[in-house]
Amino acid sequence: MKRLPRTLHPLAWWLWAAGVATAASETSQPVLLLVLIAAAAYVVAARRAITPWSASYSAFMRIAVVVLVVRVVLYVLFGDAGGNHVLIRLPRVPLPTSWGVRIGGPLTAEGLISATEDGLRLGTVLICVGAANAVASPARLLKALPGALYEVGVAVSVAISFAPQAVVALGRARRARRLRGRSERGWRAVRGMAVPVLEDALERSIDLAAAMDARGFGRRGNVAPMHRRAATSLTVVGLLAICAGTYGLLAAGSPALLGVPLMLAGAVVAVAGFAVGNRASGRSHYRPDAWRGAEWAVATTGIVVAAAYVVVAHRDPATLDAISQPLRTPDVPWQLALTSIVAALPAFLAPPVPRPGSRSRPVPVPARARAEVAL
Amino acid sequence: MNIARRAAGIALVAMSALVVPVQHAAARTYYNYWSYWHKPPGSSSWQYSSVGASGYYLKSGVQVEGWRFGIGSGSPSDPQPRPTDVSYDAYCAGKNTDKTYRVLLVVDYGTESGAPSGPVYSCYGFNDDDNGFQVLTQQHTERDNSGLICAIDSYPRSGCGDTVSSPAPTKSPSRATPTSVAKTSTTAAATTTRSSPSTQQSASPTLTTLPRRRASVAPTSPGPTPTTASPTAGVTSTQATLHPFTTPAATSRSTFPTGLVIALVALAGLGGGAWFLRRRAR
Repeated sequence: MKRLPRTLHPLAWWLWAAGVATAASETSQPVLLLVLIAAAAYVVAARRAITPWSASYSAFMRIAVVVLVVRVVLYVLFGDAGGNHVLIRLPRVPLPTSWGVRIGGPLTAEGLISATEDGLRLGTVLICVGAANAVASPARLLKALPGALYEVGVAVSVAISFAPQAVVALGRARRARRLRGRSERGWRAVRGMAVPVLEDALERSIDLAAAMDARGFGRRGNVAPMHRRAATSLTVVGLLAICAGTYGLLAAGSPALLGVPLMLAGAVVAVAGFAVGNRASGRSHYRPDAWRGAEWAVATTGIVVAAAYVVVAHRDPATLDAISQPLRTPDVPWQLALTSIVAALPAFLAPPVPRPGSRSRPVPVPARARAEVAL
Repeated sequence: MNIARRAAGIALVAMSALVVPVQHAAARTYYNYWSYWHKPPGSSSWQYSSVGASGYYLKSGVQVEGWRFGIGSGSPSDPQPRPTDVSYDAYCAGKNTDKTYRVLLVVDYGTESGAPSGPVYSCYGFNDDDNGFQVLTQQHTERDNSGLICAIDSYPRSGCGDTVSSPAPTKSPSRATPTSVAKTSTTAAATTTRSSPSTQQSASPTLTTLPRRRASVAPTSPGPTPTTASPTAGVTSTQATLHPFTTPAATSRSTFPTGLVIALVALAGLGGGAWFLRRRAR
């Protein structure tokens, strides 16, 4: 069966990425985390759109490495994770013990491993965000927002589009540097490019927001204030309840009432708010993204992976902690190892990405981006 | 305008859902958790630790460190490690005298059914002012969650400082008789045992004392039977008897690590696939 190339609904991609990130935040088993990273990498490699921001994945991968290194360096500096396989005793800064802080001191194998696992977990969550940025278009995600969120949407668009825009801006700043005959590597280059990149990315995000404003995104329209207030308050209350419910669901050992019931109640209220808001805003959509079978499938994979990890984390938290004390090879539950592979299924479930030009050799970067640098 | 009224109704229902957990929280909250106690040098009564185990440093001299699993409100009135009148000299007298920091560690699994038999003790000596966490993890295993000790020696199996609806404070006996210390055959075999979840803290462990590189664990030998038996022994049925801590019997891991193999195969397959796809797209 040959499927027609089309872009998947961005919300499906974000649900998938959020599911994988949720799963990653539940475990510190390095092997499972690496499988999740590999699954995300596979999906990104298979279904990456040819867009300027599709480089986000490798950019976020690098950020994840930085996070990992920072976490380990912090451990080396402030130490004290217990364990008794002392690798080296660093000289200690003599501080009064009542401060509760200690700089230097013994480094243990257990501490290094648990610091690495911690960093890897955070890095995996970041990589999931990067994957979502690489496969889904932020502008299309915004378009899919319910009408009640249009006002918030302008602000959110600035926030969401900042990371991909920064990646684009970094490429532009690098090319500009190269054209001027300067090195694009090393500390001096970072110092010279940091401010232009941040400025450029922020400016582009604000441009996007302004363009949306001009097209009536933040427009209130002829809506009774009563209506508007009802929609806003319902939405805010519902989203707050969802936030609290998410916390209850993810934090092991929280009261049961805080989890699923609160989340469901919040979802009901938020949907009611969206319904009221949608009725109030008289907007039409131009070529709305379709939500078809492939979208259901991709979103389901994310939810399945997240659900498996959350269930195991609540029922048997010990299996998800790679206990580094005593040192041993980790016990990986095979059910979770199998479930983690599900995270890679969107590479086959999602329809192929439409590629400009010939089928085999896509144009890597739009010519526009290069023309701008020359100006 | 009907919509607004309906919206208000829905919001009211949602808010009532929010109120329910708040009412629970209004009462005093009790947790089923591991509390942490000290007896600094010269002190004879347990002091509730106001800092975490990684933030508490040993004092020079002899001292007692205690852990107790039980229901409490996170205050100094929580159940203390038994026996409450335990002293360093009762179990560790004459051990590690060449070390600056000497500790008697008492781990009390509490009185709930299903708890490992305890309380257990172990003696350590250090030359560095290590912290309470390092003392605990010399031989015991622990599971923690963002800094909170959830389980020691895989007890409890799940949960972390869970709230308890009915406190049912089981008053711990204030005096206990540490009698009949189990005889230990001190085979100092360098076995790297691990606490298997299924056979954690079996009641009759094969006693192997782990030699540690740094901490010079004094063998919990059939030492002098402590003679601090109180005259009122046997008043309560839940008298605690301290046992020397022994790591659980090493279960030979004959089971094939299915999960690890599946994960590694998936890792290789997916990683290789991603690399291949990227190469081809270039």
